[in-house]
Amino acid sequence: MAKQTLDPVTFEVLKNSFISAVDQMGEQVLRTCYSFVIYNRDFSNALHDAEGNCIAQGNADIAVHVGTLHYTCKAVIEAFRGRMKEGDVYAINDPYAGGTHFSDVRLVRPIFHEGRVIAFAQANGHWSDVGGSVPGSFDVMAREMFREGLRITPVKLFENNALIEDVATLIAQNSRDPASIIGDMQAQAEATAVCQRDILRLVEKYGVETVETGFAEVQDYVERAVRMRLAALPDGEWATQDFIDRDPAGSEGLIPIKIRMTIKGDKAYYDFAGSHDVIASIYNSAEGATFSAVAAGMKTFFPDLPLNSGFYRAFEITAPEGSIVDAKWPVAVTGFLMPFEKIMNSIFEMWSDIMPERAIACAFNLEYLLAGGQDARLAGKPIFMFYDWLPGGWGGRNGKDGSNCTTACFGTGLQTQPVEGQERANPIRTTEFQILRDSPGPGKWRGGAGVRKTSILLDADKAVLSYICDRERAVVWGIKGGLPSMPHGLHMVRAGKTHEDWLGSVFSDLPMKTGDVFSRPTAGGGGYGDPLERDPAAVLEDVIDDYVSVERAAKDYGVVIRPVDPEMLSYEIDEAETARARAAIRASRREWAEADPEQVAADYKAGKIDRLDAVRRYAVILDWESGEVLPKSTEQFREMFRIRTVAGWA
Amino acid sequence: MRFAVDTGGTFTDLLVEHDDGRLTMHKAATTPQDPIAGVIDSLAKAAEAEGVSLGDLLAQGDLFIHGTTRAINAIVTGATARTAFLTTRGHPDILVLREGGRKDVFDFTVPFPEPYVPRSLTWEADERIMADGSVRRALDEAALVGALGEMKAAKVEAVAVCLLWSIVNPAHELRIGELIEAHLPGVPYTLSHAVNPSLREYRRASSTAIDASLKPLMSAYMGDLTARLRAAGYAGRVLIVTSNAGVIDASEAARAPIHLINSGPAMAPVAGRHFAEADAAAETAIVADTGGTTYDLSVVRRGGIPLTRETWIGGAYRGHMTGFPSVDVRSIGAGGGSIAWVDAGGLLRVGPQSAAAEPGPAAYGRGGEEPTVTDACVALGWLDPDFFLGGAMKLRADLSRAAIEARLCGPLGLSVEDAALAVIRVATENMVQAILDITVNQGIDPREAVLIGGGGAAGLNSERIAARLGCPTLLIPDVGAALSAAGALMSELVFECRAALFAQSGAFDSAAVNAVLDGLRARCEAFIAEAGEEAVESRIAFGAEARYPHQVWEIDLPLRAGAFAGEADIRAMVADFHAAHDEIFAISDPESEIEVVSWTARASCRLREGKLPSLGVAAGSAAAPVSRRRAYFERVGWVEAEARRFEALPAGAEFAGPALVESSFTTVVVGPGATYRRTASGGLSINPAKGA
Repeated sequence: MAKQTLDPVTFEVLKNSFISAVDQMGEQVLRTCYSFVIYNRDFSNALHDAEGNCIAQGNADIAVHVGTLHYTCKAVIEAFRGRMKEGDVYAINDPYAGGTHFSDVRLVRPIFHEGRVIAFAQANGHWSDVGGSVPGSFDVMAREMFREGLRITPVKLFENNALIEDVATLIAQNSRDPASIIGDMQAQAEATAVCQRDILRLVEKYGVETVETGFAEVQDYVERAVRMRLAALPDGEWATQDFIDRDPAGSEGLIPIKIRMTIKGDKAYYDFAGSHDVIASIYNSAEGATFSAVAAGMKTFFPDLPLNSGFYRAFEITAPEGSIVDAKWPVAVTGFLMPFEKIMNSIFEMWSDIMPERAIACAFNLEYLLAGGQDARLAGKPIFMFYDWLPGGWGGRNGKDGSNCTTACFGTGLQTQPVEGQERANPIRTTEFQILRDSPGPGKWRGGAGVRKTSILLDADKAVLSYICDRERAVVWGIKGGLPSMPHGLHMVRAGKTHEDWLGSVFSDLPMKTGDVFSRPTAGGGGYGDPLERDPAAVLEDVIDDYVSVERAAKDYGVVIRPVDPEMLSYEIDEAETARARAAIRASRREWAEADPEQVAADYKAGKIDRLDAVRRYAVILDWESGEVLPKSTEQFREMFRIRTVAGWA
Repeated sequence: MRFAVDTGGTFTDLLVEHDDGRLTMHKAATTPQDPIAGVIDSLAKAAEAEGVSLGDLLAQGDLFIHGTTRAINAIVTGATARTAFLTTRGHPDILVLREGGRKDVFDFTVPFPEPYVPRSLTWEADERIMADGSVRRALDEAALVGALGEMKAAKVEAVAVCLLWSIVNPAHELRIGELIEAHLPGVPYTLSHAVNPSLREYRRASSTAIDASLKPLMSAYMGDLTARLRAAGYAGRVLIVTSNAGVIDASEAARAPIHLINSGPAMAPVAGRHFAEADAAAETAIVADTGGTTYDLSVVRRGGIPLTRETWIGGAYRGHMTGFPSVDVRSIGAGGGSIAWVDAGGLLRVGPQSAAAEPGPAAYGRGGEEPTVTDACVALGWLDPDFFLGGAMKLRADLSRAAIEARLCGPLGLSVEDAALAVIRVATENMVQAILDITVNQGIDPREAVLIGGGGAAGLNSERIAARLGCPTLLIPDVGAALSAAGALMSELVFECRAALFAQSGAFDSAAVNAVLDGLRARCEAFIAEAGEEAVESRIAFGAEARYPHQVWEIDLPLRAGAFAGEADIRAMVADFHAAHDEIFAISDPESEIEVVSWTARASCRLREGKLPSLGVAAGSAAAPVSRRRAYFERVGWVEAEARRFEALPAGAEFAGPALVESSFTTVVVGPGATYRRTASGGLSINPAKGA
């Protein structure tokens, strides 16, 4: 890392100009995209140097693309080295070359100055469909990529700034939504041209040498800043693990992702030794996506630093080959977000020890619903595609409750879709979309609240439903004595029935009929700190605001609240009863956490306890529909519950 | 006689356009506890300057135009009414959930935003209307009356009603309005379909809640303002500036106060447009209003003032969406008071923190120890310590230098002068980046735009900003220090309305569209008939919010006429859309159909003939004495720069920098290589140095 040679002001000017050039790309994409997924901010943009290293990434980019764009840029360079011409734009979506999943298609434009490539602009967006066996290209039954979607290895898509029609058509016709695909290609390519224009203006003003020096020095600046901060921390080792719910091809038992982090001198090392092999579902992550998860997790503790390759040079990753965090072609990886979020939360947990002022418990898991079929409200019964994702709760923080109703940690900037927009485009009526009472994981600082959204299928033919989520068993956890939130899963009440079926967190192609009601609760965040230490006044406030019920205030917090006039939101704390309840919980809770799981299952089946009691009080994982104990999952869950929760109780 | 009063954070600016054609500028201190007192004070100052009584001055007035930050301040300080939110059963959290999104995606210490109306003041109505307007569930009136009773017990002062799909079928909202009048008499309310008939429930609900919460306060303010002006002797019309760069009658403003959120800053581009045309014959301008702490930017594009659909109070994703178009004014924390500091990585930063009015820059001598942009200008010799604000305040150059020396010179390894220059460069660059953000988004190339500098601190670095952007011309109008008030004098009466109706160009139902447009036209004509009596000229412009069918984002498309007579008209609209899309985004999809989401109409009534007069300070002659002052500039170091008085400049003659042009309101720094001259309208026109 060379010493800075640019004067501080020129340097600052260039640094900001690079970021601004990238943000302009984002603005352009946002306003011209065809994919509503992109519109809701599932996109990212970057400027790269001539070697493909990332100089600047967009400020509001989705976390999940962080740390992957330089890989795909380098893959393009590798494929076209020496053959690139001005006006070329290349496409790539290859997860095995550092991409994320097939839906994220990147357009890369070389920026020339006097016949020489000086930089690259890259615009990446989540297309609405890239083929594969189900609409939206999320087939949870896929084992290999051939069912998932079209793999685009580096390919030239524009020449002389004009779309290469035959190639574009080949790609578009492999999608269910070809018109949108062509529109997004144009939108993304034009965005890279916006960046090019900005960079060439800088070259005109400062000279190419200064700008190229700037490219290197902004990376060095970030690297120097991260390394200085790492060096200021004591050396040490931290380890933790988090889990995926299951391997569909294996027996019951959570799938561990283990991380050991070492800080030595001015560098951090992450070792995934001991993580499970790839599993027979789409919940695998390839190397690039794993790298991204580490970068995004760590970035959370350095929010002020710009993102570029300098940041990425301050840490290293090793992962066992062929493990769930190192999937190789052709293993299915479309659901890489599941391992991604586990890694991110594990990093939150380890860094919470290192930077207690930023400590945070586990966030709720991303959930993604894809329904499709024919809209029988309209003549001709056109196809509809209803994709939806919900916000949920984030982990309790040291000194602050968790953030309510925020999108999942893979993309906290994502927007949620208006109900009216959805009801116009799809045969769906949403009967409920509101904060879910008792979803926050209890703690001295409770998790943020999740939501519940309930919808009815209106006149539709051949409708099917797929659902992609996790943490039905590896339930969102608390830290430093905080409690878990709740098992994640979708409920359905079939037309004309009253029984609520628990369909869990992952299924595919489930047939649906008009009148079926499906309801998705999102979990709250995990709690931070011992809930018995939460200020009773704060619990009272939560009851008034309807985040917490009177019953759970007593069970989880030992705070006994008496209604005075609930219509007028008037409640009061019973101080004496609260003291007694807290003492009673304190006396028994270690025992509860070791209670016989079979007894817990029996009580659950008998209706004496509910799902929240099972996980918060007894740390037992059941098959939530049948009530049967899942012994291995319970053992694994309890192992971490002892470390994260029980050890935090005074 | 016309009065334009803009109540700002520090000063209340008044411009008086006299019947003899003169224009005069007056300033009074803003009185936050009772802003109307500041308004009256400014008028009293004008009366004093004219040597007449306040009553005599006011008696001559026929138009009083007022820009006020009263509404926005009430929201920011939580002084709005205790407002209930009433919505469809099952959807009580529309204001909590909003549309998601987050600004600082990696910084989870940023708190989750509070809803505009708390959950404890939210009620749900048992009713449901579907996307096609059909009633799925009739309104349960008995239950609703019960809810109104609870609101009464909860001492609610205003009610915001937003039901799903009320834009397609308003029957339930209208009925609820009647029930509120019957059961909560005197409590103001707002119905979402009436205030903002647009798709997407959060935006509409947010408009509704904000509007309702402002009603008690703003109707009192408008009543009070009008009454006190009348009491002081004014008998003319009272108009209020709206967020969309128009004016409306005060009584009208009280009925829909949501339109006053951006009252004030919205007027700067109106003035900017005037000066760009008058002094530079330009149709495209960047208007920058520089105050002590904020730098407000807006643009004029092809003679038009662009509006944004997304206006946030309190910042994107962190605050509340107004759901309304508003003049696209962006603010960054940069100005004369911005503090310069060195970060942990050794980099020089300027702002966004400001020394504000207290303690102010170090040079004010009020205990400020941190160097600011103003201090840098003092250290460079650009500001005359003895002639700041026309000598109204003495500056301490020694304190400026000491602050720069103590905080910046060591870490940066620079002399005081070079550190001060670095502060100006970084501040300039922050402003340049903000301008790039706003121009490039509108497809404006700053190299083809005139930069208009308004506000007291505009002169310090505007020439450098113009040079950096490649703007051919920088204008500092003579009324620049009261730019918004100047805009108010030139503004038009404006009424806007819209209606939602989806229409695709491939299956275009001209009859249905024409019916909607006829409805909009009728509303505009009614407005003109009633409010536009004194108008010199009135017109109605129609527009469509359109997109390619697969797109999510709409653009505003002006329509050639207010009716579709046949296929040719539809084809013309489609062609216009492709052209507009291509112009904004450099791409279009000429094969594609287009989809119109909603239709708009804007009635505007011009209230004046002819241009705004200049302040009329007599032009001097080239022979006027010129003083010289030592000032420090990049590349040339210390030089004896010419220091000239604004009013001493003869019109038209060209002078060369380096120079410092001073008036009682501002100092304009003209660097080496730049040239300047006094314009016909009395302002300063500067050709920036090339290649700065």
